[in-house]
Amino acid sequence: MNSIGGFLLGEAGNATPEDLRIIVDVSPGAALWLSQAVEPYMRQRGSGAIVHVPARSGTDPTAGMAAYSLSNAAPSHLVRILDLELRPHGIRVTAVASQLLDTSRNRTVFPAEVLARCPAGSGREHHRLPRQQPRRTPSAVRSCQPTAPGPAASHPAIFPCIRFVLGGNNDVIYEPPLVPRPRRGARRRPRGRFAGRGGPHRPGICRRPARLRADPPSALGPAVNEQGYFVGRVEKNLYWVTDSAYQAAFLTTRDGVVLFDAPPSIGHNLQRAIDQTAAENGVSNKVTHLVYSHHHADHIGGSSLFGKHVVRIGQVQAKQLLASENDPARPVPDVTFETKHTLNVGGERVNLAWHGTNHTPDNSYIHFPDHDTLMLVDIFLPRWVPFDSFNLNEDVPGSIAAPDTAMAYPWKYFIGGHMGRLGTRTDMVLYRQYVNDIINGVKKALATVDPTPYFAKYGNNVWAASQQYLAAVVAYASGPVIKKYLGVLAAADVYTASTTFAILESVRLDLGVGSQVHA
Amino acid sequence: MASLGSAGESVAVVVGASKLGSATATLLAGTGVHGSGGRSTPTALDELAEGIRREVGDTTDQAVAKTLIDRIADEAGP
Repeated sequence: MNSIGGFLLGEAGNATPEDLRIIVDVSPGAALWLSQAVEPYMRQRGSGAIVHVPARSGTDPTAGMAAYSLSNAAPSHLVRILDLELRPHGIRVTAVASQLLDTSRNRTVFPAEVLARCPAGSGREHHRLPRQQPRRTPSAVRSCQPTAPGPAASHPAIFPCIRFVLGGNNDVIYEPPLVPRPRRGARRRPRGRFAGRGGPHRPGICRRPARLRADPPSALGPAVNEQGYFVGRVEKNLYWVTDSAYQAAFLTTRDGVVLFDAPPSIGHNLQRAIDQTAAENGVSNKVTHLVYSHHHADHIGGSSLFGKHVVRIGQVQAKQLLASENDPARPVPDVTFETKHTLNVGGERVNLAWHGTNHTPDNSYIHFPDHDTLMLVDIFLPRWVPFDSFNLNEDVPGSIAAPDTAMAYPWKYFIGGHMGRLGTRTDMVLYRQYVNDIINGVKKALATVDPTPYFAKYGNNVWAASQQYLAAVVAYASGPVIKKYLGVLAAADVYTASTTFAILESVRLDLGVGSQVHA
Repeated sequence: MASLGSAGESVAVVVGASKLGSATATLLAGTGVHGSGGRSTPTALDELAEGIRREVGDTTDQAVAKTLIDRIADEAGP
């Protein structure tokens, strides 16, 4: 078993030949020479086992540690090669890839909570090899091995001969620091106090979640047909359509069909779904009205498919925004409302309401009082965590409050605009608890994680210190939430951290939690 | 050429004998495997459990790695 390795921080742009030479000597070098040395004896015996312990960064690209990651990629690949070459001789070759270890160096970077369940380090490690030291002297080959094998659990193997041991929270891969990114709609003029509030991203990071499956299975709705859609009855003559990622709804009336949203991803399948349903029920398939939940292209970008003679209805700000965006795929609404509007078509009624900014300034509540249904898009996605960075909500406090407003309506069925299933009131209660857990975690993290070491470490580079500190706060706050909701809300391990960052910034900036007044 | 352990006998060579390495060596020794702990510096080897042989060498050097393994094989072999 070989656990030799070195640790070296530094981006690819700053790596030097010496960095690479030293760290390659230490990690893949030792792995190759030791394998080479032991192999003849194992061949002779006809059996044997070789285990190397590279770091997880060798299989998952990680920014900020280019030479280190390369040095760990090599032994990971070497293991696969050796497995091919030596397996016929009865020799098993395996890698156990560690994620995060509790070493003296990591203690200066990661909060205690993150390291709490890592394999413990001795604190004797020398992680940076002094450049002035000669190579290949014993003192230059100090390793950063993890020490006692703590309670970290093994992760299902991705490659046959590589197993992962995740340090810290087994369900959390410590994510790199978060920085604001321009919103997708950055071309729009800034609006209000939330202008410029964008979600986080991590430049140069390949973000692979710890799990890729949707869990629980109940988060997945019915299977789509060969044409890629599912249409189902919500109640009476109200139907919903999904392609498993987006949702729309339609109401059949004696005077035609009222369509609610037109996601371009469903596109022409919307009319197919309407045709299918109309044929089965002997009603008109002609779309006469199209209601916009909000102005975003991913929900109404298929609007123009229904021609010029459809009456389009939307909140007044939707008209303003669409007029400024001038997208031919999204004609401006013909009928607008400010706070309330009741749509009466063919003996059916639908109540439209605006209760303030949340996901967007124009996002509307669409209530079907005769069908026990509420449609509110991009706020709550039943049995799924929010999309990246808290659904990219423009108003975080407004979006946190929106479910309370939604619960004040009478309804049994909920249409959230995304994913493949409808929601229930129980689902919404669960979602509110998830958000509250993040908020509580953020407040606790702000009170617990000490920013001082980060600012002491980075000196005048205030952004670097802020980035590292906030990343630590996010890790502290999101870790327990991810653990709690894995298997409860789908993709809890995918987007909880970015949502935590969005909520963290709102808690700091909108609520003032964690603000410190200079003495 | 010596073998790494006689028939029915296993020898483990644990390289990088910090706490992960020493814990692995101790665990293997407890299962009846003959253990050898190797490290580039002698410090951590002092903490190895009884019954685990200590070796010091720079295994980033191809020649040193071969010599180390050959020596263990010579002594642990039949």
